[in-house]
Amino acid sequence: MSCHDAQTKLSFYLYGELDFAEEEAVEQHLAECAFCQQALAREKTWHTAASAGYRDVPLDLLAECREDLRHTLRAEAAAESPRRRFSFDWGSLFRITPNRWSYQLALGSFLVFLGFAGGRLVNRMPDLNFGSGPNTASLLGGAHIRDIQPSGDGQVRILVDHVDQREVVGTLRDENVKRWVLAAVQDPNDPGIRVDSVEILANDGGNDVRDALLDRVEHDPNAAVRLKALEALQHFSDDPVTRNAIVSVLQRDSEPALRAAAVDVLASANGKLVLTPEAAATLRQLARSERDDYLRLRCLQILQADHDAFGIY
Amino acid sequence: METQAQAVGLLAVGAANARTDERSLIRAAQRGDSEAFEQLVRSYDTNVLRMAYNLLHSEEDARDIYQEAFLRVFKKLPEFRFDSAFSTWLYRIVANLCLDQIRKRKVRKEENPSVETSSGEVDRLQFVPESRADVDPQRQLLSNEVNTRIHEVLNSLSPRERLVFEMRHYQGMRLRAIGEALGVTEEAAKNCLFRATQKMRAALGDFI
Ligand SMILES: [Zn+2]
Repeated sequence: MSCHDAQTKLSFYLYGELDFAEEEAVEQHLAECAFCQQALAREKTWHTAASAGYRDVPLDLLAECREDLRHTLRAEAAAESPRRRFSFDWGSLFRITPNRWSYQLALGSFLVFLGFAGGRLVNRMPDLNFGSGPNTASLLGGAHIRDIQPSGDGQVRILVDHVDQREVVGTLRDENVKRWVLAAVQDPNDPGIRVDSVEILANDGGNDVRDALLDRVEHDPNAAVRLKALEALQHFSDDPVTRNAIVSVLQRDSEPALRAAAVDVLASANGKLVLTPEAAATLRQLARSERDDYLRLRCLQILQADHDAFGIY
Repeated sequence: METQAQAVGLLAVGAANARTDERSLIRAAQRGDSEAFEQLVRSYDTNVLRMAYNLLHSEEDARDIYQEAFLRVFKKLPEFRFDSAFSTWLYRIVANLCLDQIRKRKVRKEENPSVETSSGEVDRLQFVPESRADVDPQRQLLSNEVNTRIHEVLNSLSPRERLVFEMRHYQGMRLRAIGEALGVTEEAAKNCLFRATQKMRAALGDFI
């Protein structure tokens, strides 16, 4: 292989798009040719430089797009419904419709949930009081949260099926209402309910709220719920317990989008870039070891924006 | 104690049920299960939006692409027959929408060269911090000059080269999948990427 041949293949080599024989030939040439090794280093440099300018989507934009889509599809389904074999329940889009398949899915995620939280659940069993008060156990015992919505002026409306339906309305200052919301945030049947509950809790402070959000970030089987909870934890980004949990998301969550959001939460307070020495250390670690290209570069970008990190690279 | 035993029992029974592959999600969505459709949307929408946003440098355009793409997915999903991967099918829709938009944009720009800045569109590199004037080559890499140059090269690519570069370099898609999404052979996608990387290398050669 000539130097020219090798060099025209370097980008494809970096992208992993050469077939086995071509890759072998390039590697063999590189092993013997200092000139092409330099060319490879330059190739890597522009690859990295090009990636560094890549921007992540503002979280608001994603949330707005989803909301708009919900409205569009609702209108669409309303116009179409006579032709659809099954009626689409867009009134509660992004919630489970009680057909058999989704019931199975729900059972599936419920079981994953138990796998993580089972121990905790069992510990709570002694304060079981069916019928009178809400807690996770009463969800298991037959009560089912059908819907949860903020209803303006800080009030929350929760629709509970309990043989017959009952409705609980009030603000989070009402302990009873708050307990229902804290139960809803763990509703094993419906990720939609959990997302909405997290959103409601995001407006409230307190250790119980923080713990509920942390629990979702760490244990929810649904990535959308984890993301929502992570965003809600932004208010608590000064708190050491929260920061530790976020670091563990960075190390463990399988979803790159979650890890990217965690990086941003870790590096900010009140919408500004604030990097504690520990956070900077975590980001430096990630910049070296993270598998996701985008995320590695995001860490580098943040570190570069932060003057404390200057001199390390 | 009893509950714990129950939970363990359920776990054993549920192991088989818990597997919810994409195929069954699609089937459920085709039957009208809105939860399943939502899950499908959410497994791809972050990437779709990120791609449109970075290709078009405009929140407004990215928003339009997002809506239009998933509305089409919603309308056409009942006809989806698993002939290709769902992701390929989705990216074909997204790629076509983006290509149209880039082409429209080029025409608009030629008619009125100032439109890009006056319409409030964002510069893709505005968030990259300016580096100090030190000689550390790693830092110099991210200097504004290099970034501006990259920006210029990306803008000078043909719409199709730009899209292929986006899909390979930024989205990490395989050339084969890119070819399928664009309705061309893998070889054609590879040629497209080759031209894009050559232009990039040529433009950045004196900097790095
Ligand atoms: Zn050589």
